[in-house]
Amino acid sequence: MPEHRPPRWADYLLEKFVNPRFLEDIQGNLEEIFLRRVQEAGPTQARREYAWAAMRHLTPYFTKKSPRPYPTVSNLSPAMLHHYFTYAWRHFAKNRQFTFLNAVGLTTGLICTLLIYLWITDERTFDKFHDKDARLYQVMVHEKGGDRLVTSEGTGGILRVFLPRDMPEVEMAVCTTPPVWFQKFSLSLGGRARGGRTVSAAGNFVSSDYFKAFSFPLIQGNAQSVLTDKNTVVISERMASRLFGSPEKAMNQLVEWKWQAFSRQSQVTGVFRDQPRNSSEQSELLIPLSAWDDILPQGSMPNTATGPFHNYLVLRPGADAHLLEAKLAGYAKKHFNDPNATLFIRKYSDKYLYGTYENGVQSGGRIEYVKLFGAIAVFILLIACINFMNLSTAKASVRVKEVGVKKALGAGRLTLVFQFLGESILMSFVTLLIALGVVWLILPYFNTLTNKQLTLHFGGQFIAALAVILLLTGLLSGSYPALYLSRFNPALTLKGKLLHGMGELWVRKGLVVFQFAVSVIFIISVVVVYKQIDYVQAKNPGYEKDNIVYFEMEGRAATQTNAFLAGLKTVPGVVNASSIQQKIVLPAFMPSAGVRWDGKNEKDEIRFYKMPVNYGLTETLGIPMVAGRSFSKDFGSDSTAVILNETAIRQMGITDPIGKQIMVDGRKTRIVGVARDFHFNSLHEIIKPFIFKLSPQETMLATVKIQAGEVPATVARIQAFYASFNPGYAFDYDFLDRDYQIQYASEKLVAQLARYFAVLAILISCLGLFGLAAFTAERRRKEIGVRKVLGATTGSVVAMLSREFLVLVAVAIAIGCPLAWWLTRRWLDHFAYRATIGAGIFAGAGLVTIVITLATISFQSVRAALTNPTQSLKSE
Amino acid sequence: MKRTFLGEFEEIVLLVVAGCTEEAYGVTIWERVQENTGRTISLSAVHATLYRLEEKGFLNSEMGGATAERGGRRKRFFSITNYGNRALQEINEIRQQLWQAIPAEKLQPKLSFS
Repeated sequence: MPEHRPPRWADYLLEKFVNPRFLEDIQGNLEEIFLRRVQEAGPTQARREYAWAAMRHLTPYFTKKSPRPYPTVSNLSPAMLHHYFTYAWRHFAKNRQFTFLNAVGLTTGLICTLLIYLWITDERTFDKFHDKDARLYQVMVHEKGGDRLVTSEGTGGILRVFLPRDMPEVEMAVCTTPPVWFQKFSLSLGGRARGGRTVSAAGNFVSSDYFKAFSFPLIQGNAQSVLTDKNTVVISERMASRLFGSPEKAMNQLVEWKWQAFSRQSQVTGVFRDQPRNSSEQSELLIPLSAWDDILPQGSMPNTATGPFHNYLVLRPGADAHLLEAKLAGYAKKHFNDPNATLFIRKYSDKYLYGTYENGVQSGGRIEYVKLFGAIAVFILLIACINFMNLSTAKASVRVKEVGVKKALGAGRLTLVFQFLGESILMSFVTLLIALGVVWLILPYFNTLTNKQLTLHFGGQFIAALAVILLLTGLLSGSYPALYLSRFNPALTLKGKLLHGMGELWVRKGLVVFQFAVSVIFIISVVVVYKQIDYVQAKNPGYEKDNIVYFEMEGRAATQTNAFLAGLKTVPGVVNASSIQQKIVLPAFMPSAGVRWDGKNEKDEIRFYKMPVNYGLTETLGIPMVAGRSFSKDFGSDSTAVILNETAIRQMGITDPIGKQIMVDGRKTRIVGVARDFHFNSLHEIIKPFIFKLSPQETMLATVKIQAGEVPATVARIQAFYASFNPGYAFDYDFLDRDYQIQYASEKLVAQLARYFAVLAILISCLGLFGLAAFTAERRRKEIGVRKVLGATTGSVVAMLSREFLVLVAVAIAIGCPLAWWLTRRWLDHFAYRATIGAGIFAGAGLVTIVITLATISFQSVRAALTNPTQSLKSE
Repeated sequence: MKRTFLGEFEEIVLLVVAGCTEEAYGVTIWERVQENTGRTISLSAVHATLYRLEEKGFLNSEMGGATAERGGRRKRFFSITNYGNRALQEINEIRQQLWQAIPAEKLQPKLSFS
């Protein structure tokens, strides 16, 4: 007789839904009836009846859960929290080495993260403190230069008048002169107190709405009325204190400001609070723009869209910036008949971080470094978290018994997950406190390094950030151990069987590889950055940057330049002296129509840089001539002479240039010499066409070459000479070398910070490796004992223990090198001239990593190998 | 006096269990109920009533030994408790009183031709 079975699905439904208390009885009764009915009515009928009867049991009475016999405790109840805390504490106290390694690693990681967080927060708030920040824009311009667009801040001064008139979106416009024009102003008491001491002040000419647009609070004076009269000035709190003792005493006093040959007695009508460090505006003296019009009358220059001035706009609340930008795009062509210039606006606070434009498109800037350091912070913290994960899972064999007992006593998986997460969060909380303490201690040094004034200010945002960092660190480092340890089957673990799945091993190996790959990338990147900086330092810019001092010529020195320079040359220690309009690294950018010559292709828009200089400048800076001669008084007619650089000649396509006539700024000039190419731009850019124009009356900066090794003494003598030649003026000098360095300031900062962070990253990785090596050595104690008894040498045991880790590190190097190559390549692309990156760097970095690894694990493996086998085998 | 509530079907099931001479479990009780009432009763109704009576304390149950014919499943045997016994007696007494209160002539079937 075939065996008849009741329908499976009906049984499935019963087993799924019916309370187990009733299930056995019900199923048994049903089956008993089923078997009888098979005999009586046949299997089909019996099955139908069985199914129907079973379905009738799916009522709430049978399916409802029986109440639990014991009350349950929430996983987050105070009792359980106390339990977690106690266990975490006992665990940390019992495994000292484990705790120490974790704590040091996490603390170091958190210190890095906190410092970088403070730095990034500061960078991001740069220029953001203005009340009207959301509506504050700067007018910018894209100009056609050659085959690409060149972007600059320089716009025409007349825009201040035109834009509020033509654009309904604009509430007010502020125009300033570019601060780079003014080295320093000399500022002294005016009126009856005249002749007192002179201080130098960073200053600028600004239009009258300046204090309404920008939020620089006035301590004295009224924002509506200061800066309206051209015979007034506004000075900073610091200046007021230095000159008058206090801001109150400074009000309505007379001061005399001097710049080059200009000077004016003005009344102080306002004192503003010192401009904060995180502001682009850094002035101590603000002079009404109307005073600048006296120096260089607006009427004498054509109204153009482009120009030297900086224009800032405050839009009306709710105005559409995009609409304004669209209207501005055709503005230059329509109103100034200038088809080459496209005006646009940029948020004022974007100036600092998003300052770089590539062919008319915003392309990075300082924000790239901000992002880079953000990534570094994340990776360092990740490495520290991986340490915690690896050591926790490695310690699993010690804790499985605990997990087994807890599970046998009824702990759910969630309870254990909470326990292990609690442990990691407790650990990150304690380390965060330590890290905060350390950050507080080292912040002054970090500030010196980064040239900032960062403080630990426990505001809401900072505390929120701390909480996020704490939770992220805790959850991340605790997640894998929590999920891994809570998974154990209690029946197996209590029997002493611990199944190490392949998956777990791979995860741990993968994490170690990740740590070391990141470390390798750090090492290589730091080496590359340093190589490039060395290259920049060592590269001859084409002029002599060392031992050259420059300062602004003011007063009599400005009016009697020749006599002054002649006197200067007689000062002992001075090798040569001349004058130049601006720093050699800041030449003026000429419009494309500015230079014309025979055979110029009208479409061919080469943009030239121009620099008016005095006699002897090229000699002072040591720029050699490859053809012709430099400016010389021996030839009488040099007032129309120009010197071009090699790039200019090459791009113009002139053969035999000496004596050729070209038009510069609408004036006929004659090429007398060709200068060898030199890097007036930074090495980020390729050398551009350059024109030296002989124009002594336009020069402002005295440039002095000093005998090497006698710099301080000679500068003191120059100062004495300047004071006697030009009494009443401050002597503010600078070294050309420094200007050269400033071009690479951000690269240097990156290099220095990256070096520290790289060292820390490697340190944290090594801590983790040290812990893992210790653990492996301990777990294989018996195996090592047996091997030694059977004749293994110390060397072979050490090799055996080291091999495992060396393979991991080798894989990490293999992964890290290509990534590092790609990353550094991208960074180096910012430079037009760059150091060569050979395979040696990668080989060296790999070797260093391997040596560090070996050094880290050898301590543990040698100790394990030297253990007497009787020690390790006697127990049991 | 605490009154005992028993539904009609509950009372029948309880009486059947009380009247069983051999050990009573689901299938036998179900069959007896059907035999005695002449109604078709679903097994689930009998199960629900048995469990409810047990919850109320009128019945006791215990699991028997494993059996081969039920797929190895055990039977749950029900027996009446003292409380159940007393409840049945009380109900019976109340009924008897009520019966006695009916006048004799009313119990005679009336002939009616209208």
